[in-house]
Amino acid sequence: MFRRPDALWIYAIIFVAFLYGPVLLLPVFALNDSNFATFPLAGFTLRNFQSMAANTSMIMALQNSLKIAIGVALLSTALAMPASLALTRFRLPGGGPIHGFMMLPLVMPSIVIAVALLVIILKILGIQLSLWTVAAGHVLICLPFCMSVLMSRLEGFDPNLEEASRDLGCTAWQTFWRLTFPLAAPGVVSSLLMAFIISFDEFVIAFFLTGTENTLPVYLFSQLRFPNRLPGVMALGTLILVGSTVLVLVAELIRKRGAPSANPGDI
Amino acid sequence: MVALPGIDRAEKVRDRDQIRRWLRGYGLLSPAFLVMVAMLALPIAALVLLSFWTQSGYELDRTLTSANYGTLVELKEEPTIWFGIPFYFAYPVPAILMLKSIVMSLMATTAVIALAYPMAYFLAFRVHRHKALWIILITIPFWTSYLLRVFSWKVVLGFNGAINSGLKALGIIDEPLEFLLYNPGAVVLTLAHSWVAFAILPIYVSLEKIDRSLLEAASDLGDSRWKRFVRITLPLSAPGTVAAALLVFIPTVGDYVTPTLVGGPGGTMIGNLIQDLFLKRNDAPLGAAVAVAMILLIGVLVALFLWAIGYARIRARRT
Amino acid sequence: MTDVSPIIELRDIRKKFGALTVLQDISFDIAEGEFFSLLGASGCGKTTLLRILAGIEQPTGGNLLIDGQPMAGVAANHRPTNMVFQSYAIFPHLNVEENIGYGLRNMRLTKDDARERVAEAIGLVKLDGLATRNAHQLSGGQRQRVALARALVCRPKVLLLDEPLSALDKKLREEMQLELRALQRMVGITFVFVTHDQEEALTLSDRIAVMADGRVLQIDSPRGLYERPASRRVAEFIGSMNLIPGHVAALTGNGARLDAGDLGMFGAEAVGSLRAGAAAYLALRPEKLTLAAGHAGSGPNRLNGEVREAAYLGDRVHYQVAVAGLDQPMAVSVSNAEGEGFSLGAPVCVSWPEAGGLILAQ
Repeated sequence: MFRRPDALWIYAIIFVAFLYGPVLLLPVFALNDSNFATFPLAGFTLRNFQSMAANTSMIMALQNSLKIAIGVALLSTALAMPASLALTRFRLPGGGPIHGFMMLPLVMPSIVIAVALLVIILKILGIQLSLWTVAAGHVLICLPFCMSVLMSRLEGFDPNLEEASRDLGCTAWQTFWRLTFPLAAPGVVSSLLMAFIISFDEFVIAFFLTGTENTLPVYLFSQLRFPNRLPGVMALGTLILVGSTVLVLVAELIRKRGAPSANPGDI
Repeated sequence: MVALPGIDRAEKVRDRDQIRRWLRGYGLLSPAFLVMVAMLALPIAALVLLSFWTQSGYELDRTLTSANYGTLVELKEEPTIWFGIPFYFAYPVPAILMLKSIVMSLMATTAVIALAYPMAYFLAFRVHRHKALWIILITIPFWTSYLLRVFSWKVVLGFNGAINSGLKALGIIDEPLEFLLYNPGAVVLTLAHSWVAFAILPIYVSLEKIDRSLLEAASDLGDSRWKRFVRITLPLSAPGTVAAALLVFIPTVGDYVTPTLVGGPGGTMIGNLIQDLFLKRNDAPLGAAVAVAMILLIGVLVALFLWAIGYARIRARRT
Repeated sequence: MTDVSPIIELRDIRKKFGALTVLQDISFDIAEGEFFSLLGASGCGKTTLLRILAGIEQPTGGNLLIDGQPMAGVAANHRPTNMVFQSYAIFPHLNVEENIGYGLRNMRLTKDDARERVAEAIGLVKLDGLATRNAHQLSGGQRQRVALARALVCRPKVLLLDEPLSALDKKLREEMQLELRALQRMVGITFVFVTHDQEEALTLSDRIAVMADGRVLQIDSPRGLYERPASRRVAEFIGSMNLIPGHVAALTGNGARLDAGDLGMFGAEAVGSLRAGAAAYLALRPEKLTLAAGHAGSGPNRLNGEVREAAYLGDRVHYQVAVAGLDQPMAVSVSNAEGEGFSLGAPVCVSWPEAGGLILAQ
């Protein structure tokens, strides 16, 4: 049967174009041989990418961001895994409100989280701002995402499986390592990748909570003030976009495979 | 049946079993929960506390006072007029920015829902093959750098941006259109674009959950396609749509990146004021009061909205 | 079965989920080596009782002994029971061999011993050649066999089966019933089998507990349940039963006489506790009845009526016979070997031997 082109299909295609259009201009202008982001295109160049290798402050910022993102991904997944188990497997009194509380950072404007952390760190605890404080803030905003991913994975499989494992003589600990963890593994990988991306791309909290050192988004933001650095910014942005897209693709493909339902937006 | 003496003891054992099970559950939950308490609940409490202190020069005065909130609501005789609306506040900036942020965020949210709903409908009812691929295609932009997505609009709308230079190259205009960037419209457009991908998923999930036989039954009972949509599909997808609207509205009211990059002087929002008070004007207590007032106002608006549409009823219907 | 020592002893087991009582007053024994079924409609509590035996659910009250040991506070992994789940609960990340060997890893066995036992179990459930097959490549029947082997390989004292055949189609189910019965005889392990299918329970079991509303109504052998149901509910649940209402006119030794008003007086064996004057039923199985053409004069153990419906089943013919004075038509099942049938509307006489009926309490 041949589908006649209907309004919804046309809308969907325009929608996707709208969604991707502006962002796709970044690689276009980054590869354009001009100091301005303007049409008509002047010619092809890799100069903007080549010059990045010599940009030490950018490379420092990149290293900082990688360090934070890797640590945040590991820590928030490690925290989210037992919590997700507790909320999906034990019918705990008060489980619902606790879950709601833990999802709160999803809807909090990030500027509120940023200033609240800033207040307690500077005015109450009197700790110096550093990459550590940025990482702490990032763990907070990553936790709800990690928990959503892991909980939907854990809810997806037959509760009889764990009962069967106990019935066959395994303790709770053995059941976790022989059954639950292997089955949740795609969710764990996807949780790690998502937390990594969120932390790596996050700007507002890093902007408020960083000390003297920059993360990559903070560095990028500082460059936006200088019009003559626009081509470099777009080259950097292109690389970040490509990197994030690859990671998201991997995370989503791993999560979708074998998962009966995946709905990170359903909270 | 003869009562056995062992029963009471056995029941106590079982109670202890249940309690031990709960304790294990709470034990698993506690690391993440304590992190959330230490890094969300306590900081918010600290923020509230700070909003009752005052800043005098470089010193923080730790006597409790409602002076900051007083500053926010202190009245004066002749009003500051903003878009024809009189503000009778001595220091009208927070109130004006608050109203402006809410209005802009509402506009962005409306645009997001209007754009996202047909797309979610398309995904749920029209896409049969490669559904997962479509969903990934829609989700990717949300996960890629917010900063870059906002920045890309600056490239599109700028004085020397893609639209202006493109139109000029085509000979349609001679001078760049200045009204594209640095205004509230640009902020609303950029916010809508940045958040639309996030709103599709909850709507899609609630559409996907609708039992297809309900739609067939409606047709069988004489509904046209349009009537069927209004009478069945729309009400049953309301929970997801409302959730999507809130997930967009709440964070965008306090957004900082978008107004900073594409808003210009006319497009500033409440987030800019908070940042300004904390980092530039060194009046963190007043900034804290503005942030707390913003959260409270958003909370009240959301509660009013949910009450007005009868959200409890809508949710209960979902079974 | 009383001569064999009990492997499971249930004493006044109760279970509540919040305010909802799902089991009460459950007290009975299951003998070693028995094939015991829990039979009842869905929601009667039979699966909950099975899960209490397995240690997955804890009872709210009462005592449970398995092999003489009290089970209060003993977790599922320390009980000498293994379970075949209704969903089979095949571990999706493991292959057939690994699934079956799952429980053996928790026993102190050498690698060789474990491998030998898995191979033996694979042979026992006829899965030869599928040892390295992945879980998702198995058919329903094969999954059921893996679940069975996985539980049996641990050599439990009691094997618990939660409607293990309900997901299979009719033909495969009947095959598996025979195989399951043969398997149980071979391994000699006590089987506790949950089902809602009375035919399945009758085919497989040594004894059956009929359950309803969280209680056990009757425990007996299949023949005992069918021939001597203790109450109207059991009679109606197992097979079909004609019930003629009346009240007890007299008690005679182990029998009774029922006064059914205009329909007359009927004598039959009495079941359960009957008092003179109390409301009761004469219960008649459809296949115990015979039909004769034309109306007969009034006499013991017969009723006149006319054929309302006839259903031709090949080996048997089922008739519905309307009898004046009875709300429900009587169901009569006649062997097809007995000549020509009766046409609709034909006057007939329904009769039965006195030993073919039962008097049941209300």
